[in-house]
Amino acid sequence: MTDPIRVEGLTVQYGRATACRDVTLSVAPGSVYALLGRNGAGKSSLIRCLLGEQRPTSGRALLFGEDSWRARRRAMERTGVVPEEPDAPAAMSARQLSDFCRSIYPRWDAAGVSARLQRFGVPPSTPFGSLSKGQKGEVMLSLALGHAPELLVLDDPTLGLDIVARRALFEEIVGELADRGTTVFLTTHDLAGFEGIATRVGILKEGRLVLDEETERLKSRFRRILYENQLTETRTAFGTELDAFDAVRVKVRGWGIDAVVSNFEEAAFARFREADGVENAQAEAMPLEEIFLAVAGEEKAKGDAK
Amino acid sequence: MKGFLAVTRREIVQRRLILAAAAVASFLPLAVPLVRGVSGAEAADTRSWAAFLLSAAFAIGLAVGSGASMLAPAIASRRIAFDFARPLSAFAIWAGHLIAAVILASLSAAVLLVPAGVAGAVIPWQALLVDAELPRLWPLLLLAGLLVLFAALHALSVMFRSRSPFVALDAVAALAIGFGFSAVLSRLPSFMADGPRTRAIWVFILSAGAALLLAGLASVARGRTDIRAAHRALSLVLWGSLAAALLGIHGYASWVLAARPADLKGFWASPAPAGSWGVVQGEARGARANFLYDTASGRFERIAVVDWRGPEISRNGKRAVWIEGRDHGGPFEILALALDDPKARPSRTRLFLEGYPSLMILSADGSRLATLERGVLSIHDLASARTLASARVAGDRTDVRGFFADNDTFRVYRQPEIIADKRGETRLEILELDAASKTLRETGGFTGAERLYLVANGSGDRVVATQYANREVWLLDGRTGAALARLAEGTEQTGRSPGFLADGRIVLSERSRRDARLRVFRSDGGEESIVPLPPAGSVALGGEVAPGKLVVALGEGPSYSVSLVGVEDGSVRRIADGLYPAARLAGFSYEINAGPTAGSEATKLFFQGRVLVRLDPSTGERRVILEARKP
Repeated sequence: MTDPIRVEGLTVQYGRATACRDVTLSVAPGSVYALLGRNGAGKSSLIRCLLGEQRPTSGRALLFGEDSWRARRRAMERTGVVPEEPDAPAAMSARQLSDFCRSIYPRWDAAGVSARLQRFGVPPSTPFGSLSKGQKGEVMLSLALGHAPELLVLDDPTLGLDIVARRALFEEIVGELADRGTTVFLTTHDLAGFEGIATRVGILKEGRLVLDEETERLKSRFRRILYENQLTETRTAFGTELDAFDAVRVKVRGWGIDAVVSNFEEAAFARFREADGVENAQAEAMPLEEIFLAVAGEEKAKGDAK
Repeated sequence: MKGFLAVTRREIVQRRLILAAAAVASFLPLAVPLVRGVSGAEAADTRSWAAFLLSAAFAIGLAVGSGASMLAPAIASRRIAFDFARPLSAFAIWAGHLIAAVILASLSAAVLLVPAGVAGAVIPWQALLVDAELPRLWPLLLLAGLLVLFAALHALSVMFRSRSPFVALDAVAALAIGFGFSAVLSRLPSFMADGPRTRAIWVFILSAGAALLLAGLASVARGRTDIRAAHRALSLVLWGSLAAALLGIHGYASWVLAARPADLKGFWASPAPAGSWGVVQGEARGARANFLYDTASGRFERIAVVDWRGPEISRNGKRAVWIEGRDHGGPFEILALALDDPKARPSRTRLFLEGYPSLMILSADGSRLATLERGVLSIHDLASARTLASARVAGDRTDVRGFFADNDTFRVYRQPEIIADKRGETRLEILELDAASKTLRETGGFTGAERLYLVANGSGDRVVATQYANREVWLLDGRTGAALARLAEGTEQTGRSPGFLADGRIVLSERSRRDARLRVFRSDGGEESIVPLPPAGSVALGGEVAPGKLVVALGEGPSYSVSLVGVEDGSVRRIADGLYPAARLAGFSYEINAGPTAGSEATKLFFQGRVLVRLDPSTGERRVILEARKP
C-alpha cells in the first residue's frame, strides 16, 4: 500500500533564506505523524509543499504516490486540511461553507458536518468571520472531516485554543482515528496533547529533519540520568562516563550531574551505576516535550559543558 | 466545471449585499431631475443620462474594485489556501472569481437601470454610439470589457502586493511593449495600409485582453499561496504573450509589406512613355500597393505614396520621383529612383514640400521637377536639390495642366474649373515659368472654349484641344494658343479622341451610332485621309507601334478587340481579341504630352482582364507580364 505521504529531498528557499533543507520522510497508512519544530523551523513551508500550495525549490512531496504540486486536485479529494490560520471566507456561515463543500466533493457528509458542529456548539448561521478562534478551528476541522478523508493534515490545530476547545478537538481526532484509521500528519507545539496519539515523531531544526522516529522507540531511548560524580570538580572534562548513552544535554548541578541521553540501555545503565565515582545514579523516562526541548532547544550538551 | 460553478456561486453569495446597494442606489436617478429643477422631456432625458452614468460607473467601479481586491490579497495573505486545500482546479478558482465579479457588476448595472427604465428612461445609445451595429453587440462588449478590467486590476494588484523589486521590470516591459507596438504600427501607415493597421490594432487589443486573462490564471495556477511566485508567473505570461503577439503583428506587417506585384488583387498599370518601366497600382494583402515595375526584367520597387498618386516617370523613362508617404504633417520629401541603373535604390532628394502637390511633372530627361502646391508652381532641380523658380499660377478653382517645353521652361495651360451648372465661354490661358529668369509670363490663350481636353505633341509646339461639351476639335499653337485649324465641328452625337503621330500628323477617332472611322490630318491641320473602322461602341487609340502603324481598340460593351491600322494605306487588321491598350495616345494626364513614344514598349502592353500582357503586333504572340491574384 502506498504511503499517503512521502517527502523526498525537499528544499524550500525564499531568496537567500532556506526554510527546509533536503527533508526526506514518509508517513505510513493509519499512522499519526507529529512534526515538531520551533517557530521558523520550516514546518509550514513543508506543509504548503505537501498540500501542493507551494512549489519546492528542489525535491518533491508526494501524496498517495503522486507529486502534490502536479496532482494536488486529485490528492485533495482524499485529504482533509486544518490550517494554522482558519482561512474560510469570512462572510460565509458554517452551513454555507458546508453547502459549498458539498458541491465540490464527490461524497460529502453534510449531516455529519452538521452533527459535528452541533457537538462543538458552533452556531451554523453565524458568519465565519464573527466566530471565536476556537469555533473557527472547529468549523475547519468539521469541514476537513466532511468528506471522510484518508489523510488529515493539521497545521498546529490547537494554536490559540482554550482547554475546552483543545479537548473537543482531540476527541474528534481520536474518534476519527478509531472509526476509520485515518492517517494524520500534524505539526504542533502542543506536545503533551498529542503525545498519546502520535505514532511517529519528526523534529525539524533550522530546516533540517534532525529526528524521525517511532514515538515509542524515541521515548525508550531518551532518558534523563541524574547522579553524583565525586570526580567532577577536579576534572577538566566530564561525562566520559556518559559516552555510551550519547548525551545530548549535560548540566553540572551543585549536587551532581543532570544529563539527557539519547541512547539509553538498561544493561549499559547497570554498568554505569557501578562505574568509578558514580553514586546514586537514577534514570527517568522523559515526556515528548522534554525530548523536543533537548533536541530542538538551544542548549547543547557540549555547550553547557563549556 | 462543477468547481467553477461552486466558486462562482460562493463569491456571488458572499457579495450579495452589493446587489442590495445597487437596488437602493437605483432610485437616485429619479431624484436628479428634481435636484436640477427640470420637467417634461428634459427630465426624462436627465433621468436617462443619470441612470446610464450611474450604472456604467457602478459596473466599472465594481470590476476595478473586485479585480484589485478579490484574489491578489487572498494570495498575498495565503487565504486562498482554503480553495487550494480543496479539489478545485486553478482554473475554477480564477474563472469562478472572475465570472462572479463580472456577473455582480453587470447585474448591479442592470438593477441600477430598472427604476429609471420603468419611469420611461432609455439608454442614450444614439448619443453614445455611432456604429449602428454596436447596440446589438453591447452586451458582449460590456462583458468583455469588464472581464479585461478585472484581469488588468488583478495584474496590477499582484504586482504591487508582491512588493518585489521586479515591478521595475514590469514597468520596463510595459514601456518596451508600448514602444514596440508603436514601432510596428508605424510600419502600417493609414495612407497605404488602413485595413491591416486596423486589424493589427484589434489583434493587439484582443491579445492584450487574452494575455491579461491568461496571466491572471497563471498567477493563480503557478503562484497558489506564494505572491512572489504569482507575480513571476503573471509577468512571464503577460509580457511573454504580449511579446509573442507583437512578434506576430510584426510578422503580419512584414508579410503585408513584402507583397510583390504578383500579389496584387486586380491592378492598374501605367507604362512610361519610353523604356520598359511603368507604375503598377492595386491592392495587395489588404493594403494599397504602388510599384515601379520593369516589364522587361520583372524588377520592382514598392513605393509608399499617399492615395493612388503613383510615382511620376520622365518621358525618357529613366527617372521616377514620388512624394514620401506619411500619415500626418509635413514637410514631405521628394524621393527618386534612377530606373536605368539596375543597382540603384530609392534616394532622398533633400527637396521638401509642405503639402501634397496637385500636379507633379518631370522634365523629359528627369533632371527637373515641376510641382503645383496650393496654387504655387515651382521648378526644382533634383541634382542640386534647389528650387529654381516659383510663381502663383492658380486660384482655388483653377484647372492647371502643362509640361516642360524645355528643361528651363514649364508651360502652363490654365483654365477656370467649369462647374456643371455654369457652363459658358471661358479663356484658356497659356503661361510659361522660366527657371533661368525666374519669371512667369503669359504667352497666349484661346477664347471661346468651354472646358477643354488637351493633347500636345512631343515637342509641345502644337496642341489639339477638344471641347468636352460638343466635341469640337481645334489645332492650336502650343505656345500662343492661336487657332491653326478646326479639325472637326461640334456635334454631341460623335465621340472623338485625338492624338499625335511621331511624324507630327494628327489622328482623330470618331464614333457615332452608325459607324466609326479614323481621320488623319497633316501637321498643319489639313485633312489627309479617312480610314473606315468597323462599327464599335467605343474607340481607344493605343500607341504607334511602328511609324504609321497605330493600335486601335474597338469596344462593344465590356469587350474590346485590337486592330492595327495603317494610316498610310488605310488598312485595318484585327490582331487580337479581349485586349485593351495599357498606354493611350489620348490618355488622361495633367501632363498633356505624356502619350507613349512611337515604337516604345508601352505601345505593346495590353490589359487582358486581370492580366497585363505584351503583344507583338507583327506576330500576334502574347506574353504574360503580370497576373492579378485571384480574389
